[in-house]
Amino acid sequence: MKFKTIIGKTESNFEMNFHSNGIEIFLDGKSVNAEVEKLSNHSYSIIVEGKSHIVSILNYEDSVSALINQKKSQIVVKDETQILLETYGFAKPESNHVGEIHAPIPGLVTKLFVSKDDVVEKGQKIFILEAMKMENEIDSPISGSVTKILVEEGKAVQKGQLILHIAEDK
Amino acid sequence: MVHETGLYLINHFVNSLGNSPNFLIPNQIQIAVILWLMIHKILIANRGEIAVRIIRACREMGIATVAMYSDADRLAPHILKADEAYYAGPSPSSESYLNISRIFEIIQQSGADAVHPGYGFLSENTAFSDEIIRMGVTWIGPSAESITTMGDKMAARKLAMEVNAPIIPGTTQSITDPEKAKKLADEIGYPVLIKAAGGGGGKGMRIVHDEKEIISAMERASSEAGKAFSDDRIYIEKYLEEPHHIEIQVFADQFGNIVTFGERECSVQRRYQKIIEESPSPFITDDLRQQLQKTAYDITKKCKYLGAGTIEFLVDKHRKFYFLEMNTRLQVEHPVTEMIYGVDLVKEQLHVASGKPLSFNQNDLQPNGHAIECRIYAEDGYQNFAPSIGFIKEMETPNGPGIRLDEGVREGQEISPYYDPLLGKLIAWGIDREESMHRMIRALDEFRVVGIDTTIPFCREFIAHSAFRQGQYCTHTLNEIISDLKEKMQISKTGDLIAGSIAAIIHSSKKIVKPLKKDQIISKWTTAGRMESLR
Repeated sequence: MKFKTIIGKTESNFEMNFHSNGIEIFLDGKSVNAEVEKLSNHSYSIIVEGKSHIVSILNYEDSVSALINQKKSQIVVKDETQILLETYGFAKPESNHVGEIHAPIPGLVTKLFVSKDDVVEKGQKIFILEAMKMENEIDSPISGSVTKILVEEGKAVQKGQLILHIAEDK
Repeated sequence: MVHETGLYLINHFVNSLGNSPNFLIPNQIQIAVILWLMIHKILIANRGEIAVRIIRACREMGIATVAMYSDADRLAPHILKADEAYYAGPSPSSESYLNISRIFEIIQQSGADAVHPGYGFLSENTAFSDEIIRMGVTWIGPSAESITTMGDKMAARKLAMEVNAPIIPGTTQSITDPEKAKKLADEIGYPVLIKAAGGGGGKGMRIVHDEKEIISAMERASSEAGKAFSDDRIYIEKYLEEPHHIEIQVFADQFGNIVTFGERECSVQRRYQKIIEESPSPFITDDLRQQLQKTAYDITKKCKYLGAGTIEFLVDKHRKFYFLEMNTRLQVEHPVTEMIYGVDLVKEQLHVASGKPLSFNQNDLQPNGHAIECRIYAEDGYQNFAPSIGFIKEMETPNGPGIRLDEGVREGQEISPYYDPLLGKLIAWGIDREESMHRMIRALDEFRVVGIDTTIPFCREFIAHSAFRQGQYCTHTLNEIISDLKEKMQISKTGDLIAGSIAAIIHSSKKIVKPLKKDQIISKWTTAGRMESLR
């Protein structure tokens, strides 16, 4: 089976053949001497060319987040189908999310400085997010106008929750 | 031993009444007094790593422990490790760990004869400590008077001035009028710091670089202080050049004995909160250390202190030092002092609280080697230390020579947003700074936590960074080198890239790595046979 992985700017093409007694691994066409053992539910012990690594999978959604020898990495994994789709230009275009303001951390929205239809400038304070008893001022990343506000003052929000929309000035 | 201490106390008591030293007290009364003074059962009005730390000291001393829990903490380590556990209330700390009336009920239900407040929560609440004492229960902490004086930064500054301790130029009164504040800031010279009068930990603190920022900074600081400490008073002071945060551990007993320990260097801070500490400091000279200890002694004496306390100083790049504040409780970072002085500060707290004299004098306190502490927080070092919540799916803790872990969580536990995100503290002792650093890096490499983000990767790169290795850092260093560190926290080695890719592919394609080999199922007789051949 063929896979492509992207870590930062590094793209690697893997071929993995799963056999009953182990995995045959090729990286960019060359055979890799790697021993893989599952250590626990989320972790693997992988010996690559004699060097011992522990890789723990933190989570996987669009990409895999992994802790590799105490360094965290986002790894995009594409399987054969995805590679094929991309080759023929069927890949989904990335939508522009720049005007969506999400909560960077879980907390409490204690103050909103803007209302719907307000014009905001880049760097302007838009709300205060209180977390672990600290007040964090959240600035607008862009200049534009507020099109939608999804939370009220005093409301608890999760990490990544959408707080408001700003339509960017073009 | 107990008997001797009892006699010492009784004699001290008799002398204080002005009776003849030959006054004889019957044996039965002597024993009764000793039993009355002894602590048998302690309620720990706290949670997390400090509750576990206190339980450990109590168990070693044969004292029973009573823990309390909120809904979120039913299966937390302090509940699993304590002798007794009582429900305190719902998860928010205001309804559980700060629920004073419920705590009084727990004291009565459990029959605890002493209360240890740990740090944070009720440790500096005098209404609480006063009531504990009124109930006839031993309060393991200083008197309400010392807490009140030293807990109020302005009163503390005044007291420090009375013993000629240097203080940072600024206001001694709280300030509300922005115009007055602007005038004062002009006199002191920008940048200035706006700080909360009623607390610490960076809450209610703002740096102001020019006049334009002052009004909004005062509003934010005051509102934050009001929420964190129910006291919205703020004041202004000078902002120091390349400051070091240095503190001196002190200990005092009821008989007027006071000892001071060598400094702890606490300059590695994010959001004004400490994250890495060490002792001794690579920045402090022997001469300066003596001056710091002398000043700490004077302040401790002046405020009639009892038990464990910490005097905090700021030392600027010219090695001029200023008194900052006194923490009237056990500090998070107390283990670095314990490691190099070979003392147990929690046991000593219990010892002193039960009316005994300090078990060591100043000459007994000789430092040995070097210790570094890394605070392991549930925070993402890659994302400005944003808090991280979730389940600890896997945890593998470090061990081996010179390593100590004061932990407050276990594998499988959920980290909730209700409390301080400190998971535990990793301490590395070495014969010198070099060995202690190498041990710390080794231990951090062994420390694997899966499920939440932790400060482990950050601490690892900070200790390995040349600024720390060369001992050249101040409270600004973290912000200066954070982008450097973030880069080092990325994987770069080919082997890491390959290993990461392989694990990611296997995990996301849900492939079973290897079937269990037949020869892994070994009968007990085969094992026994193998054991024989090893003899």
